[in-house]
Amino acid sequence: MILGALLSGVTAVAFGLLYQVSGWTLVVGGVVGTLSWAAATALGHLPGAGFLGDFIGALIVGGLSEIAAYFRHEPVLVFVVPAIIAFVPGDLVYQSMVAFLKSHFQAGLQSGLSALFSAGAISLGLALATAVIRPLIRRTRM
Amino acid sequence: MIENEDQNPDPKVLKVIADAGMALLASGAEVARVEDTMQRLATAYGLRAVEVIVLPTALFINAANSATVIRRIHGRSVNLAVVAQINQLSRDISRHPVPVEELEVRLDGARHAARYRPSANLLFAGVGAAAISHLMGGTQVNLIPAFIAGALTQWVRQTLRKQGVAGGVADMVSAMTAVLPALFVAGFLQEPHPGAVLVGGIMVLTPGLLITTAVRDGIQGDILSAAARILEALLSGAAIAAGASLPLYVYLAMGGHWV
Repeated sequence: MILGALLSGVTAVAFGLLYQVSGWTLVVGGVVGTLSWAAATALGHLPGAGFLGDFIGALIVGGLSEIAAYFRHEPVLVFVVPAIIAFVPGDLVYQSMVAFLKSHFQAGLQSGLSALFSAGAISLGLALATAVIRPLIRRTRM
Repeated sequence: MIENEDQNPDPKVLKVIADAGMALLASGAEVARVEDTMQRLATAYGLRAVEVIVLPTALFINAANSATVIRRIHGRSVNLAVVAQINQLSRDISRHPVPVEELEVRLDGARHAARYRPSANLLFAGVGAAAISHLMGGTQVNLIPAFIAGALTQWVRQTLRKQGVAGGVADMVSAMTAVLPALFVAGFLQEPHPGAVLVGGIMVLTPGLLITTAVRDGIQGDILSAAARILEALLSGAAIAAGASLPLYVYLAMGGHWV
C-alpha cells in the first residue's frame, strides 16, 4: 500500500511535468497524489466498498487541491489534473477491450460498465470537493 | 451605455484581452476562469460594462460603446504552464496596470510558456507510464517496456501534432503504437502482465484534464461547456480503445500468446 501510494505520487509528478507544471507546485501535486491514493486504498479494502475508494480518493484530491490553490495563488487545475490521473480506470477499460476482442461479451460489458461507474464516482468526488470545500475556504477568507 | 463615454478605450485593449482568453481556453482552462480573467483584465484597463461570453469553441467580448471582438478556438491541448502564467499575469496587471503594448509582449511570452523540451517530455511520459504499470499490477519486468510504451506514445503524439494532426485521429494512431511494447512482452519475452504495459502506454493519452474541467464547468453552471467536454472525453476514450484494439486483434487472431 505504501509502495502504491508512493508510485501514485510519482505518477502525479511525472504527469505534472508532462503538462508543464514546475517547482513547488509539482511537489504539492505529488503529495496530493500520494495521500489520496493511500486513503483510497485503505477504504477500498473495506467489505462491500465498491467504488468508495475512487470516490474518496477523488474527493481528497479535489479538497487538498482547493486548499493548495488557495494558499499558493495558483489555478486548482495544476494540482488536480496530475493527481487524478492515477485514479482514471484505464485498467477496467483495458479489461473490457480485451474481453470484447476475445468475444467474451458479458465480461466485456461488466468491465466496461464498471469503468463507467468508476469514472462517475471520480467525477462525483471532484464535484463534491469543488461544491463544498471551495465555498468553505472562500468564506474564511472574508 | 453611458459608462465609457468619457473615455474612449483603445480598441487594441479588447483584442489583447480576447487573445488572453483564447490562450487560456486553448490550454485547457475552465470557462469560469477564462471569463474571470478577461473581466479582471478589462476592469484593470478601465473598461466597464464589459460582457464576456465563453463557449468551448469560441469567445466574445463586448465593451459598451466599443467594438465587439470574437475569437474562434480551433485546437485545444493541455499546457498548465500557460494557464498558471496568464493567471499570474492577470493578478499582476490588476494590481499594477501596465501599457497595453507591454501586456501584449508579456502575454506572448506566457502563451509560449513551455518549460521543458520535447525530448524531456518523452522521459516524463515514460516514467509516468512505468509508475502506472506498476500500480496496475505489473512486475519489475514490465517497468522498462512500460517506460518505452509511454515514451513512444508521447513521441508519436508530439510528431503528429507538429504535422497538424490532432484530436481523435492522433489519439487513435498513438494508441496503436502504445500497444506494440505490450505485444513484444507477451509474444517475444513470454512474460505475464502485458496488460499493465498496455495500460501504462495508453494512460499517457488519458483525457484527465477534460474530465476535471467538465466537472468544474458543470458545477459552475457552464452546462454547454461541460457537455461538450464530456463528449470530447468519451470520443477520445473511444478513439484510444479503437486504436489499441486493432493491433491487439490482429495479434490475437494470429494465435498470439496473451495472459
